[in-house]
Amino acid sequence: MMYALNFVLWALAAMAIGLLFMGISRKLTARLQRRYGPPFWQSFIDVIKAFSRKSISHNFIMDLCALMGLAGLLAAAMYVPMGGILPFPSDSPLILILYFMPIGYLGMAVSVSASGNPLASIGIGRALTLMLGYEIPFAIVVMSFISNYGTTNILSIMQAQAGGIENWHIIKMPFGFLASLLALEAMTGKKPFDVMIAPAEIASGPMVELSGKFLGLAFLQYSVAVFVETGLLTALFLGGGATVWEFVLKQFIVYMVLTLFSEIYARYRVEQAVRFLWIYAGGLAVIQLALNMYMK
Amino acid sequence: MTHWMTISISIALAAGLLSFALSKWKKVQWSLFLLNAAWQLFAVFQLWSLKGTVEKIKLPFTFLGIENIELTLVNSEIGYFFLMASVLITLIFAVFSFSYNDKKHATGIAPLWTLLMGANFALFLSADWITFIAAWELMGWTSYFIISHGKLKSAKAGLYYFILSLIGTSTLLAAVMLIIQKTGTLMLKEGIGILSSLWTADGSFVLTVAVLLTLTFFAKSAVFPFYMWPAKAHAEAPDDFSAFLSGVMIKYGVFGLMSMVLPLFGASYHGAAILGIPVFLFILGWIGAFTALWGTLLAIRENDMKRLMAYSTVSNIGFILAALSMNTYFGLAAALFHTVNHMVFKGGIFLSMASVKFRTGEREMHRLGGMGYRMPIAFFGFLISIIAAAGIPPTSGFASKWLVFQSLFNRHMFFMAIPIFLASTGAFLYLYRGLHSIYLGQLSPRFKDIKDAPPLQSLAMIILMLVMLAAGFFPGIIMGPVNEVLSAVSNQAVKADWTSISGFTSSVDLLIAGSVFLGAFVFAFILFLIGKKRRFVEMMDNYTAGETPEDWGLTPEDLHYAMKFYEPFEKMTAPALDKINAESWFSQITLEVSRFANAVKNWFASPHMGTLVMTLSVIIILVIGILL
Repeated sequence: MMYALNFVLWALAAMAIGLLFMGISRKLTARLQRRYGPPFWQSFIDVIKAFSRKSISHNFIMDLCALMGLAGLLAAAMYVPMGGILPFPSDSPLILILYFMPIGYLGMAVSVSASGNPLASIGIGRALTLMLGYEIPFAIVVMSFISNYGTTNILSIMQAQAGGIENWHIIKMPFGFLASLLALEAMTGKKPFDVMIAPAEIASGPMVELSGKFLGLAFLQYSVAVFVETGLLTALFLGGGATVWEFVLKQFIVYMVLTLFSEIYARYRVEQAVRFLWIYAGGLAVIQLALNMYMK
Repeated sequence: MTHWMTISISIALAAGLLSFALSKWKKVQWSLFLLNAAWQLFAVFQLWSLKGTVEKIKLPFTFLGIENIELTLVNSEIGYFFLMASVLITLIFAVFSFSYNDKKHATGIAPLWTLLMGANFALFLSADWITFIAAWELMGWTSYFIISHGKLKSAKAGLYYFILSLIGTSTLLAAVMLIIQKTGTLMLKEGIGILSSLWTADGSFVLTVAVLLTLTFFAKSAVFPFYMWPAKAHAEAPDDFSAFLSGVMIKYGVFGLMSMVLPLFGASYHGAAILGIPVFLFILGWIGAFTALWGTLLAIRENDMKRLMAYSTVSNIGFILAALSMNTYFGLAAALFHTVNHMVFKGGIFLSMASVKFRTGEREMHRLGGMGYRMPIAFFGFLISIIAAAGIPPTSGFASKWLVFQSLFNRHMFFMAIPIFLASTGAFLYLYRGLHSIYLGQLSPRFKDIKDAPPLQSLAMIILMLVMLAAGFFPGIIMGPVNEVLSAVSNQAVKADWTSISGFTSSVDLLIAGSVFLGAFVFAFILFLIGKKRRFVEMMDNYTAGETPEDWGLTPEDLHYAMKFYEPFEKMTAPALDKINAESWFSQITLEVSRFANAVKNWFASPHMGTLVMTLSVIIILVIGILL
């Protein structure tokens, strides 16, 4: 019972934080473009509205896998140590996050390609190719942590950074931080890595056939993804946070940095994006791994 | 009754021969095959409590100076593990095949497959070289005939497979001759044991044997540079046999590496080592990592569904090889776990594709599409299998991939883990492509009235699904037997219980992880129920930027996006894939050989040149004769 309550609290918090970030980022984007922009709670309104409208579905696979998509990300969110707390005690949250996130993406992919729209399939094809681009640098960064600490326990990695900003991994492992920041830009689908959405080109790609609550579920999935991904970077490089507020504030800063980057770049083609991520993010990550392995 | 092993092998061989005589009654043949598989399972359960028993047959022959040779079978731990897994999975395949081989699809491979099951039994339990080679040969030629199964295109693929098998068999024979001569014993384990203590005395000899044996098992397991044959053989073999080929037969090489090559690098190894790993095994590990990567990249650009999954098999063998070459008990555990896991999920994938082909007769993915709406059981069989293949919880795949990476991390092989990680993520691409192109997207009007797989085929797929899910929540189902092998081989065991496994960097409780996922699913379902109702619309009722596809003469088939799915990525990898292509190397060798042969032929065809060559060779022979 306690676990169920924990779960619901954590899930609602993850979704709310993600949606809030998305709203503020829209506002920020608008101001950069000299627009007034929507209110920062606009994302909440969007989701509520989406759930309250009628929707269409093409078959049972689309229904089922849309749920799988959100479920995978929510399961991953359970292992983000917000404020040093985990609702479900575990020894290897990092690995579980890295493996639960793909199930979310896979669910989403199956759901939208069951709609039969070729634009959606093109988008998914691009998204998966891009995934190959950003997962590799990120995995190498994770390996450099394993090389240093011999553990994938995110809590002990957070504890190792306690005591001040000079202990944070952003200072101690700068190459790894840059690599993961680049990977994160792609993970969140921000420009220049937004080729799978590409609204002007493939009509929002995966989202093209989603309506009503399906779109709502996709929004929620994205918001949880934002929460998980920024949470990972915060916990690994920015010292985590002693309190929930500190942790969320750091996540917020990370997401705003990503948004700012997004506004100054144009879109890469997918193979350019993969090449860029492998060469630059991958190169930085390999440097960090080599440093950690041989310069201890 | 005590001679369970001898009797089971004899029964399989007798049933196979009897089955040849009954070729008119196809269903009887397949019943015999099913019965034989069931009997083997029964025998294997009897052998459970008889670990370590030895059965011998004395023969009145002398071989290489050893009198009265004995054919020996032993119920060893590793052999039993492989036997158990292969027999269990074959029974499931047999149920599938029984339904698959109806009047329209019958292939007549039942007798050969029954014989092959006898060879399978003997191979894993053989305790001496003669039994091993006999079983290896029987396995080789039965599978050759099965792959060919009386079709011209298949015969070509079969020949390709057979020639590579011949390379493997010749190196095996050479290795065995060397071993017997050096050690003077026909017994397999003793011979390897003696050899492994010879590193200081005669290191280069042991290395030669290791290389020869490794080549044999590489050829069988399709490791680089022999990675091309599965794409031909798996694709052209009968559809139900592909599952066996990919699930079980490719593991013979893994079994050989585990029981014959790895023991050579035991405690008494005195040679160069990198980070504590013998150089030979270090190279093996890199070959494994490279195979994993290459298999994945080749699978991504494949359009034929069976070829795609064949390359995926190659890639998975790479994972197993990399884990194995770490030469630790943990690596062995990872290899064993992944072996079983691969058997199950690749079985599931191939059975599901076989039932699609059973209903449609299509193999090219772009000609299919939308099968999932008409064949839900086949779809879920495929979905769960690819989730397991991608290593996502809550399926058996997570634990096995995790173990592979743990075994690499334990040895600080981080750089070797990079290509493996790339292969593991790349697996998403081709697995999703298979799922999308076959089961999702637009349903072609040609297949509008297609029905789901017949009951027995569905049953086989459902059993495999349940196994994957059960092992996902309770990895102890597989980990228990694995640990038994480990404690027998190395006196060590991975810390694990029914629901959790402990590694070096972390431990995971898969029951909790799986429950969290299920809870998340329930949560999402509640949100789904809260939302306003949806209604179902036609598949062609899509967003098309305001145009009506019918106006342009577009059919659902045109709207099914499946050809060249990852074209940008394919373009990126094509130069490398074309450059490092073992097939073109081999055909280069073939070309050179045939050019040389033609030249020789031409010499003899022209009288002057022929006389000259003849005279020269006679002189050379004479000179040699005088000199000696």
